[in-house]
This record gives sequence, structure tokens and C-alpha cells, in this order.
Amino acid sequence: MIDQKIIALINMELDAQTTPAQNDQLRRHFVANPEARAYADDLKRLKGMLDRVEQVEPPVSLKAGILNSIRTSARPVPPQPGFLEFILSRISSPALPRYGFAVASGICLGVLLFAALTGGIDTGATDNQISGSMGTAVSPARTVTDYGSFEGASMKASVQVVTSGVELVVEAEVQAAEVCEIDLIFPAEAYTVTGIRRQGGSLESVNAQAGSVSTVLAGSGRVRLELERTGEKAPEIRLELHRGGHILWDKALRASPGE
Amino acid sequence: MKSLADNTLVTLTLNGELRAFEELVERYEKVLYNTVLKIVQDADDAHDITQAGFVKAYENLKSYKPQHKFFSWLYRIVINESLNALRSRKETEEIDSALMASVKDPAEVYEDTEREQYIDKALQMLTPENRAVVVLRHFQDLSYKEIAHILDVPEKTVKSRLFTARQLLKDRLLKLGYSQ
Repeated sequence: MIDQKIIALINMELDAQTTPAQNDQLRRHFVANPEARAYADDLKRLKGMLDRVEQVEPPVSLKAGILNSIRTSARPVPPQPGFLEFILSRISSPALPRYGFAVASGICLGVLLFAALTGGIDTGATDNQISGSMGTAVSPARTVTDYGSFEGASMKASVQVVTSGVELVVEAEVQAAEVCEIDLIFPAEAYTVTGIRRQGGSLESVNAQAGSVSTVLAGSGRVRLELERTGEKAPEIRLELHRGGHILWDKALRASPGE
Repeated sequence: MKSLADNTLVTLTLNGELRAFEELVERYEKVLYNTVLKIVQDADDAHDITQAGFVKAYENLKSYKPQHKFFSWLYRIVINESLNALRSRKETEEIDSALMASVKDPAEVYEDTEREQYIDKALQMLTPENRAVVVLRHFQDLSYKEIAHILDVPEKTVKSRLFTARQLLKDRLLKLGYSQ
């Protein structure tokens, strides 16, 4: 007869879930109880058998069947929380920053209210801005490290880089009637891609590889590339804007105010 | 696409990029198909259930919460599909009795049957819930915590099912004549 607690320990040892003290307890128990040792040996053999089972290749028709089915099924729509819902969700989240977010939201709402009462807000932005300045503080945590714009060949484009700790966002906007390609090239060892988002326009294709993301966009739209810095250094990121096989704009973007 | 994280591919899919979901299919079809196959023990059923699971995941992608692992979420859908399919079969007892009738001579079975067939037969004798835990732990190498999340049960339930299932498997394999 083997005690249920010992059976549980034997199983946990099999799954590498026991502490050194529990392992010692088992070893001592085995000396006094050969039945328990035999049970443990049986389970080890069983585990060995199960672990040797090899995976089979799925039938080739599986992937095709899945893709055919989803082409005819309802396309999923991303959740679109409203402004108020977004604010409330942040405030009600359990994380510490909720207080800061609540205060910031209050300030923003106050500014908007003040602007509404005094005749509107002038952002000061101009359409012809073509050069950037480094180290513009957006908030204590987020910094615009570079930006620039391009106008010509019947199109307009702009780009900005915003960093926040190890996170980095490159946002490129294009106003064009034709299809163009936005390439973002970066040292693969320095950055990991954590997200790619598109707003507006029609996304023709995305080709992401280690060290580059190439997006083909039809019409006016915005592409947002989210990266995470993996090391201490934040090397430059290169933006290339192509159309019809020609490079229209080539810009090296600084990813750190100090670089 | 191959270098992108699961969550990025989900975002791209939600933005209408079908190629992103295709990458997720390529990434997980093998592991999920094998998991389902071990649970349902039928290649055609495994094909249909895996396919249905992926389609369901696609259609409900907007309900996926990025704070969880996409793989665990997908696993949960496919495992639930498998368990529902097994429950609807309602023939566990019939399989058991038919199986036992076919193994009257363990030595003969030992000569004719591969080791994996023994395991498959022994797995068939477990309840769907116990079988799922064994498959996830031993064939997919998932932790107690991951299994608990996928099956939506407490960790102690996972342990209890796993320990019981091992005991039953050990006994059944001996009964089937497999002693190594």
C-alpha cells in the first residue's frame, strides 16, 4: 500500500515539480518501501514511452481547408472602443498608472473645455514643414527623436519616430492616389518588431523579415511600426518610400535623442 | 511574416490581412492537429475538428485579449471542440469493451502492434478530460499552469486528473500486455 501523498510526490517528481527536500524525502521513503520505488519506476517507464511518441505531419488538405473556410466566413472586426470607454477602461484598470491616467485625462478634458469656451485650439502645425528637430519632449515618458516630410511626384509623406523607454514607434503617413511602398530597415540585432498597424488606405501587402518591414499601401494612409530595443544602443532606422520601382524618399531616422 | 509575434499577426488579421492568419495556421496546425488526433483517435475527425477550431478562432478573433498568450487561447478553442466531439460520440463504453475483446491474447497483440498503438489504445480507455490532460502534459510538454488555463480548471484539478490518468494508463498498458 502506497500513501496518497507519496503517490502525489512521485508524480510531481516526474514533472520536475518537487523541491530538493521533497526529493530527499522520496529517496528515504523508497529505502523503506520498495513498493513505492517500483511504482515510481513504472511511472518513469510510462513517461519514457509517452515522450517517445512522435508527431505526425497534418494532411496537406488541412491548411487549404482552413483558408477556404475563412475566406467565406465573416471577417473579424477589431474592437473599436469609444473615447469615453477607453478612458474608463484605463481608469478602472488595477495597475498603478491609473491614477496618473485619471489626472492626465482630467487635464486634457479641462484644456478641451477651455478651448471650446475661448474659441478653439491652434495647433501651430504647418503643411510645409520639411525638417525635424531632435529631442522634442511630448511627455516625460515619450520623446520624438526624429521626424521629416516629403512632397513631390504628386504625393506627400511624413514620418516621425517616438521613443518611450525601450519601446519605439515609427509612424509614416502617405497622401497619394497611387500605390506606393514604404520600407523600414533596421539592424535586426538591435530591434524586435512588436506590432504593425495600418490606418486608412488599402493595405496591399506586408512583408516583414528580421531587419525590415515592407508595406505596400494603395491610397492615403498611415503605417505604424512598433519596435522594441533589445540592447543599449538605438541605431538609426532607414525609411525608403518607393513608387513604380523608384526611390522617391530615403531618410535615416534617429531613434535616440543622444545618438 | 515569420518573424512577427502572434499578437502582431492577430492585429494584422483584424485589419484584413489574411496572410497574417495564414501564418498563424502554418505556425500551429501541426501541434494542434497532433493534440486533437491523440484526443479523438481518428484522423478524419482530427482534421475536421482542427479546421473547425481555426475557423472559430478566426471568427471570434475580436474577443481575443492580448494579455493572454494567443497559443493558449487557440488551444482552448480546439481542445473544447475535441471534448465536445468526444462527448457527442457517447460510445466510450462500446470502444472499451470492443477493445478488450480484441486483446484476449496479449502476446499476440504484442507481436503485431507497435508501441504507439498500445499507447493509443490505452488512451482510448481514459475519459476525454483525463485524456486531454495526458496529451497536453506529455505530448505537448505544457506546464500544470498552462493546462489549467487551457482547460479552464484549477491547477489542483489538472494534477488530480493527470495522476489518476497515469495510474490508469500504467494499469491498462499492463493489461494490454505491454510491459516495457
